Amino acid sequence: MPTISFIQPKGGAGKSTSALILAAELAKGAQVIVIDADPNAPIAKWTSRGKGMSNLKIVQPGKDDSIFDLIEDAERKAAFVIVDTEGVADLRAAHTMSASDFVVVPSQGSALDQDNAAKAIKLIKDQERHIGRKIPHAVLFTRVNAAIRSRGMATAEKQLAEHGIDVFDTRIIEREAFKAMFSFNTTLDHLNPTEVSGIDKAKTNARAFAREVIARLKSLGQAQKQAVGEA
Amino acid sequence: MDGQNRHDPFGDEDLLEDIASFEPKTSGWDKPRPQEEEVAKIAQARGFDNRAPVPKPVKEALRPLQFRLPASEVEAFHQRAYEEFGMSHGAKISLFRKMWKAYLASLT
Repeated sequence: MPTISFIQPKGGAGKSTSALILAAELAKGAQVIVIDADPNAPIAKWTSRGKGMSNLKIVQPGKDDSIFDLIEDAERKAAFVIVDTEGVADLRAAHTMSASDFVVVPSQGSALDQDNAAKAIKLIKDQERHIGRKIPHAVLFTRVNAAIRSRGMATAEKQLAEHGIDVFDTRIIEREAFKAMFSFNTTLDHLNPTEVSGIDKAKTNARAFAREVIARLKSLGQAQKQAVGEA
Repeated sequence: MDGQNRHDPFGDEDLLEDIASFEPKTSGWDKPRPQEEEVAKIAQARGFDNRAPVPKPVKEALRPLQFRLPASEVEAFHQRAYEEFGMSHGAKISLFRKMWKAYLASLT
């Protein structure tokens, strides 16, 4: 039922990759609907060109479809709804935020990614004030170099910490296996280790991300129950 | 045979159980549904009405720059790079770029 959206107004930050990683992990244990709101439709193409997953359904919004209606409908049909948005600062991204239970803001840690992550987070905060509810969100570092912690990344971490912005402990490491999911239109579990390196490490990384998302959702659910009880 | 049937305490069963504990929503919309026009106003104030994609930085193709210098000068250059930029990938490139920028600035 929770709707998790991936929003970052800049392209190439790893939105679709991290959305697919999470969707594929969750679909191992529950029904998942991905609303592929990116006109390039990377996840829809991934499904149509490959075998997809039985628990994973894709919805592609039409130009005039209301994202609110699509999310509401998907939440009734699936245990998890994941929204992958286009890398632009548009109204659909803004609407998606306000209908989400959790917003993941992917960032590679570069100055440009950080600027656009900040733009998204400022809009989330504006919308929280308007709709009168918290929109939980956190930055997810993506395409992170496994061996080297760059100065840019260190600066990005420092800036986020200074502003009290939540960051996922898990980082999506730059791995051939994640790219290969799209090249071969399959999941990490079905990649061929003779063709792609680092599959096991990618699987561990994907699982850690899913585990952290689930832990955050459970904790939010408990907090909501407690708030209802206190009220 | 026994090993195959034995429960793996390090496996993912707990994660899968947690995932399976989530269910589709049975009742109506429980989140306050904002008015789309209001969201649009707020979004536009933050620049979220622009359909133009944020351009990705253009990556110029890289080429190596190779030449030989006395070993002592090379060592001193490495040492200075690590002191200024840390023992990281790119320290020597960073020092070279700093020197190059300073040189270009000195021409103007």
